[in-house]
Amino acid sequence: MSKVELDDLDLKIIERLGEDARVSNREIGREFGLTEGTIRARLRRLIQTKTIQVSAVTNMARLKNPMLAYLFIEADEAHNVETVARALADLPQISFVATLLGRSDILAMTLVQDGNQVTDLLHQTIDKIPGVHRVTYSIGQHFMKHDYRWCVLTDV
Amino acid sequence: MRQSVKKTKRAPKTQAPPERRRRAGAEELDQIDERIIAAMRADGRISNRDLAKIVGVNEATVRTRVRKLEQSKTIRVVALRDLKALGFGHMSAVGVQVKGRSVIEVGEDLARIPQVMTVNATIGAYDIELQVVARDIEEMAHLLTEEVSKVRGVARIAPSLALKVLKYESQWAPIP
Repeated sequence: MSKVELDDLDLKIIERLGEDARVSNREIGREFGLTEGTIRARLRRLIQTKTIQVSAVTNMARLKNPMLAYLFIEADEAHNVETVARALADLPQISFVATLLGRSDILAMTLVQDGNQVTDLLHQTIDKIPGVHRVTYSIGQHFMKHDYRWCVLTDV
Repeated sequence: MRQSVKKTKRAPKTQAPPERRRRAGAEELDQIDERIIAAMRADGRISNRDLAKIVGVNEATVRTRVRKLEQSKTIRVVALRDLKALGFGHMSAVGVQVKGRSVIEVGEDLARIPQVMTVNATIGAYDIELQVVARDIEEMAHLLTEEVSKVRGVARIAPSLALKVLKYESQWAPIP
């Protein structure tokens, strides 16, 4: 967990890079009335402390019929929850994994392009993970809001 | 906290036709584009010069390609922010059952709550799935009982609280 104190300049840099991260340090410096070196140092710290990660995000619209599947997974025994969650997180096609209080033991999310992909993933991969007891799922049809600039870099 | 709320707040209930939504960013990509994207996934701040070396083309080509990828909304290169580092220590996955109002209308109202990160119309036990973030449990309690639950058309909610987020990547996303 990051305990880095962020000041106004850090937040301004994060905000600026949230719009377009290909902008040069010199350009950000010019906009904020600061030197390139200041921006470079701040940016290095933000990245090293895992406060941010600068990365390319690909438009989901490139996929044929993108749907986000929400998989609610129960473990057979309580002590297996963490192991099952780790095994899910190791699967490259799964983008989100969290252990939960409430609705089930684990929530995992994965982007699929049709119903067959969900059933294939469930039967051929997830059911075979030791400790998986039961999976219920919902299929996301239509994103009404999605801020892709959030992620988790520190909890793993 | 900024978010990319869908810009059709006052639009009629019907969504953009799927063909239109699909076409954005659906240009053909070649090997060079794919390699540029892969390199920028690993490090979005990589210089054009280093990109050119990795991909095996000259710098001018890289510059043109990157601009084209961004202009066609195939990719966006941005700073992804760690939730905890920015102070959002708690996340809830909330199922919402809608009654007496359209799912889209209810979803649009829910999307206006800043701490509601994602709103997705779903097929399953619930009509909408939300991800809600909060700085502390008190804020989460307030959001769930005073805000989400009070949106007109929300009949029932199934909240949960993330104990530990083991993975949260944003390599694919709707880019408006």
